Order: sequence, then structure tokens, then C-alpha cells
Amino acid sequence: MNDHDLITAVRDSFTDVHSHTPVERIVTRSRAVRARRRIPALAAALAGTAAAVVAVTSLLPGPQAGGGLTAAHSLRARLLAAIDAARGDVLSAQGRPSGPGQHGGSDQTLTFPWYPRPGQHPPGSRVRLPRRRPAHSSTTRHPGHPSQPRAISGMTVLPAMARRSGRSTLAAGVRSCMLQVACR
Amino acid sequence: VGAQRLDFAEFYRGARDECLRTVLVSVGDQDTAQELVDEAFARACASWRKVSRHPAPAAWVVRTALNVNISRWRRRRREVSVPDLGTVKDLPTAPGATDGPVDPRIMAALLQLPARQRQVIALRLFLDLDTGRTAEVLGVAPSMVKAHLARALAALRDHLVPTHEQERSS
Repeated sequence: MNDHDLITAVRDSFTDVHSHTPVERIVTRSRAVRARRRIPALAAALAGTAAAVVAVTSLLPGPQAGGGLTAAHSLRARLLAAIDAARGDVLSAQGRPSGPGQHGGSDQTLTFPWYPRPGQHPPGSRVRLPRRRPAHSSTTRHPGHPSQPRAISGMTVLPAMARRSGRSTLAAGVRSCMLQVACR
Repeated sequence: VGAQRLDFAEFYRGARDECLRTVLVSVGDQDTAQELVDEAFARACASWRKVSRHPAPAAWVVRTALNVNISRWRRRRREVSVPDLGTVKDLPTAPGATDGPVDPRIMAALLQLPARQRQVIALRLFLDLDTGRTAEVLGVAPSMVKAHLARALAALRDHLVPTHEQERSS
């Protein structure tokens, strides 16, 4: 028996082996295979979406961060309100009605358009009046929003200027003179 | 999609018997071979766009069936102690050697061959693959395929042909 006869004998011995599975069953099974293949893709897509949601949520300011900003805003407002009060002391002292020659004063009455103006408080702001009232003040002062610059007769007083005037009486005097000049 | 389905159905009807015989020689059990071939054809149907462009789709199916068999053997090995994949003659579920449609003598001779030689015999005999394609499917060198085929035929001749006939022919 040579190789060809041997191969033929082996091949012929398997001629009765047949597959009887219908093609419809194979096609149905292939759908299950496709569904199995989709599971990792769906899991990956879900994981990516979840990761994106977590990343966006952590990057955006949440309630805690908002509270921190509000606290910082409130602290800044309190500081500026205190500075305004101190500046008001100086201005009221310098703007008291006095005749010419008296401490370099003026007859004109200085008006402060930003003082009390109903509804000037921005909603949600926690600006409080300083407890220590000025000794010579006769009016209640409600400072406006600290982020807004104050306009006094064509002159803009920035918070930084207000801070400087509150700290230095000399600077406040100079500023008062400038205000009087402007009023004239 | 309908044309692809018809194309696959035509391929399935033409190649299912050859693939089943090839896998049967490799695994030694007809029921297992039928299950593996069905799974491999289902995967081929699921990826028919890719498989249809393969130079030998039947070889792809056989390779997939053998890979499925290896995966199942690995899964089963974690659960219970199973014998090595190549020793199919020791498997308790190998009735193909006795009560199958195949000649028991030939089946027993085939099952005594090493796994790689059985695969070479199956691919060369039942799928009519040449040496290069067989080497590509099995992932070995073509010279290794030739060596496995020569050793397998020699072993089969030793088992199937009586000694006195061998002496007479020589």
C-alpha cells in the first residue's frame, strides 16, 4: 500500500460523516455571537460616558464651591463696607456746612448719591452695615455693591481709592478738596 | 444583507461536511466535533464580510473550531481535572473510535497519532490544502508540515497494513 492508497482509504472511511445542522440554526446562532460581541463595546461606551459625566461634574463648581465663593464675596463686601464707612467719616467731616475760610470748607452741601438708595442691594448679597457708627454721621449709609464703582459728581471713586482714603487722613483731605472743586 | 446570507448559505452547504470530518479527526469525538463546527460556522456567519475575503474560508472555520476546542478545554481545566488536549484516545467521550460511521480501525489509528500530525492529516486530506496553506493555518513552517505528514503516513501504514504485507510490498 503506497501513500496514495493509504490516503484514499482514510478519506473514504469518512464519507459517511455528514453534518445535519440546518443553516437556519447557524444563522440564529450567529445572532447570539453578534450579541455577545456587542457586550464589551456597550460596556466600554457606558464606562466612557460615566467617566465623562464624573469628569464634568468634578470640574464644574458644585454647591460647596458656590458656598466658598459666597463666603469670599461676603467677606469682601464687609471689608469694602467698612472702608466706605471710614471714608464717609472723612467726607462728612470735610463736607460739613461751613463758611469760607472755615477749615477751607464750602457752603455747598455735598450729596452722596449712592447713600441710602432703596433696592440698591444686589439680591443675595450679605452686605451688613458696620456696627460702629461714625460719631458725626447723621444719616444711615447703605453702601452699594462693592464691585460697582461709585460716581460722585462726575468723579469715580474706586474701591482702591476708597481704601487709601480710609487709611490716610491726608489723602482724604486732598480728595475732599478735589470734590469741592468738582462741585463748584 | 440578503445576498451575504445567500452567499454564506451556499458556502455552508458546500463546506460543512469537510469541516466536520477535519475537526472530527482532530478531536476524535463526533458530537464534540459537530458542536465545534456549528460554533465556528456561527462565528463565520457573524463575520462573513471578513471571512468571505479569506483565501480559504473552510480553513478559517476549522481553525476557529480548533481554537474553540482549546478555549473550552482551558475553561474545563479550571473546574475539573481533564487530560491533555492531545490525548484524545484517553478521553472517555471518544465513541467515534468504536460506534461511529468511521471505520474503527482507521479511527483508532488516527487517534494514536500526536495532535499536530492529526491536524496535518486532516487539513491535507479532507480540506485539500497545500503545504503552504496548511502551514499558515497551523502556524508552523512548511517543512514542519511535510515532516508531520510523512511521519503520520508512516504511523498509519504501521497500524493499518499488516506486517507481512509490508514485507511483501517492500
